[in-house]
Amino acid sequence: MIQAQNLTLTYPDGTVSINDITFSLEEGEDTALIGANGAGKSTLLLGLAGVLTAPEGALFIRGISCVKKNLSLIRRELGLVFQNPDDQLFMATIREDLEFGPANYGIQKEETQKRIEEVLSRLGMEGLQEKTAQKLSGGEKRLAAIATVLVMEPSIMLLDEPSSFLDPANRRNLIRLLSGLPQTKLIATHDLDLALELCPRVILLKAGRILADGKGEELLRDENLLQSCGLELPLSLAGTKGKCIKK
Amino acid sequence: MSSIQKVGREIYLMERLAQGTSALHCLHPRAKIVVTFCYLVAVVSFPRTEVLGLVSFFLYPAILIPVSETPWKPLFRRLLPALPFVALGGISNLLFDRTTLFFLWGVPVTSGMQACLSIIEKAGLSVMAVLLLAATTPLGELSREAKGMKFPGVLVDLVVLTCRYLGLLWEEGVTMYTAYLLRAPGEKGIRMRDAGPFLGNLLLRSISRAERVYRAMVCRGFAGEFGYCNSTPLKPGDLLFISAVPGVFTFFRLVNFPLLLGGIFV
Amino acid sequence: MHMADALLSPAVGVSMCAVSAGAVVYAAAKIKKEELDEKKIPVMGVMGAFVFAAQMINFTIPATGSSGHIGGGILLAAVLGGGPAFLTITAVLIIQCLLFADGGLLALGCNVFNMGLIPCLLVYPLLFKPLMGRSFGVRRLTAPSILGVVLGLQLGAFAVVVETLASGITALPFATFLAFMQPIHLAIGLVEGIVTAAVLHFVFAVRPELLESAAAGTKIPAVPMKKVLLILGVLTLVTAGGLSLYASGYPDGLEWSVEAVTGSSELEARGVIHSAAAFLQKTTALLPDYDFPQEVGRSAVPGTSAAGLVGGALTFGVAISCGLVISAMKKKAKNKAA
Repeated sequence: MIQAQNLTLTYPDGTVSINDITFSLEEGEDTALIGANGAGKSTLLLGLAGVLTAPEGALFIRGISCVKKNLSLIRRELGLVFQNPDDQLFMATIREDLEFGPANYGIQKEETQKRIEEVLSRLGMEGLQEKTAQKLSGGEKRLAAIATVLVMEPSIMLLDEPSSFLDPANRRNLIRLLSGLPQTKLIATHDLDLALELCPRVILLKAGRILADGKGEELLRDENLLQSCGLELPLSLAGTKGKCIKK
Repeated sequence: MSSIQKVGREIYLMERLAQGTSALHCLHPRAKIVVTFCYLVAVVSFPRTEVLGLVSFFLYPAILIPVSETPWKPLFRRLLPALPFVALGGISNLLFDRTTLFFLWGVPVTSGMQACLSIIEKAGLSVMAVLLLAATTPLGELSREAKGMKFPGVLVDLVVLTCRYLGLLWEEGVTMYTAYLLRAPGEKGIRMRDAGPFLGNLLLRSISRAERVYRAMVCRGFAGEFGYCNSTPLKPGDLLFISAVPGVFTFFRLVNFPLLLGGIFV
Repeated sequence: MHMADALLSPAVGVSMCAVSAGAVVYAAAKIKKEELDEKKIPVMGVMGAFVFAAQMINFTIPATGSSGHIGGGILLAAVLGGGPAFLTITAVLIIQCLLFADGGLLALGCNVFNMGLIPCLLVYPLLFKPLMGRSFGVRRLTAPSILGVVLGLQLGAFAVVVETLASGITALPFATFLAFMQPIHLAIGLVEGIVTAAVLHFVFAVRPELLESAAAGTKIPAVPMKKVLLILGVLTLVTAGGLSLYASGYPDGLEWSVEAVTGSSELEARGVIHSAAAFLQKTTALLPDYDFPQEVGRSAVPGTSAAGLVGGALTFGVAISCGLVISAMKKKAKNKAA
């Protein structure tokens, strides 16, 4: 689904943020992208969506090369849910936000309405359609932001810190929702417990490079490794210190 | 800053009103644009001191406001601020144009007074026509029509984008202002010397926010131009509206209807 | 400085719309040709919103039918470049017109010219940028900002005066009008200039690349400053003289300006003005029966003034009752459905 080879991403002012990484993602292989602040998680997601300046190295999304002329196609396949839902909800009502994506791809009104209804009922959001984004709570905004991406029916979902801004109940809802989505998911997150629950595979980033790439079950129990990247054990494993692999 | 808070409410007011389902809302946007334009030209083309002929043109908003179910209070709230400036322009006529035209119950009516009244009428009518257009046609449809009429795409998209960002700016501004006041107890506003950094900061934060929003738009397929569902063709009702209504305007422009009406009774 | 439809004649309104439309098309085409950096578009939108909010602060100029407030043209041009700034101001004016009834729809052409074209496409490239020189520095931002803003507003205010008088709807004499508009806009210009300088300082300190890319996008014409000022001065005089010929007459103001420019005698001047203006009006008027303002004073007298009053009141009454009847009918229909 995603194939990156010697991928390097730089900011406009020249700072290198992702430095020569190689990895690939197969269909159905839900993966968590973890690392400290500034490790490059968000940048990698943006780069995959072709939003930053042209990447160096090779990048293929579902076999399509990530170059300027293919960007429209690629963005249909990749749904990127931003960290701050306010960045994603910019129309006057939620309904308009939901219609925005499909309209850009020329999808007819009836088909769009059908998709909207499907997504709303799946997320339990019926009734929020006519509200303004400003009036929603954090949890509702997060759901709405995810909905705006789901109506485009992407095959891969990229999520940037999805559990931020959420209280425990909403967080639990989110985890339940994400685990039920059929799309392949790449989730950038600090929430290591979420990563442990949802993602069989984990990629650990440090200073723009991949430090480790493997099974979540194993990586997330490696306390030394995590600490070397500025992270800690997931809370749910904190009580199992004795069982950790110490290298 | 309270005026900025008002801005936030007011932008969404027009958008909410424009989502209505009255007969006027269902008219094709092109029909409404053409008719509004004809109305404005007719009203503005009246001679300087014409007062009576303009009264017939009150029929247009008087009929369309209830038909479109537009609440008249917000409309008048928009209208009122626009009037004083124009009325002041009218005052110049009172002061400088003192040719007495005739006497009304012993009071000399100068052409200056007529001109003043004429200006106020024109202002009220023209503003109401434009507000009616905005309150019955969503911005998206107006943009689509503008593009159809070959307006530069960059400009039309910029109009829509700027509207969106007004809301963003409003939020940022209010938050920053509150934070400022909490650290400057006793101040009622922003001090002159802080204006530069405050505004500059607001600007830069809004720009960053706008860049993020733009990225989100781009990720959902926005390719520089807003995509619109295909424009519907003009229906017979629309064509009737476009042909009949400006015809009525022409009639009222050329024939001084109130004078005729009055002549019947007096 | 927003002009309302009520103070414009169709001739002036439409011709200014044509001029502004031409400039807009040109600027838009230029942007498309240069393939605007994707990042710039949200910046344009935000700057537009910013200027919009700043323009909410209104100062009333008594007796002129106009309001005074900051233009924002120079600030925009410094951050975006002349062409994009022009389009941004146009977008702001369109929104203000449609959603806030600030400035008329037909008057858009005039407003775009006065508040957009003049600062962004004239003052910015011809005055601001040359004064800035090649590099941006803290000291170099203040003078160009203030001078640029003041000049932009003065020219804009002058344009408002000319356009209003050319329309012939107001009775204000030319000199009086100027005496109100120019000094007030001078004061506003100074304040706006200082604020613009302060904001630009801040922006330069934090994100200099914004200002530098804007400057890079605009080419400074290779004309020496003295020539530019001379040309601007001559243009001003010519427009003052020429357009005062076009404007309909109120003895005081016209005589004053005509004598100042042509030095001809009173009676001759009036004859020239009337025939020239009448000719111009006839050829540009949209509606053939549009009365030339001079004669209106005599012909618009409702001979039967009583009939006029009664008829006017009746028509108004008919309009209001139509409205009330339709509202009532709608309410009834709603109650039935409920």
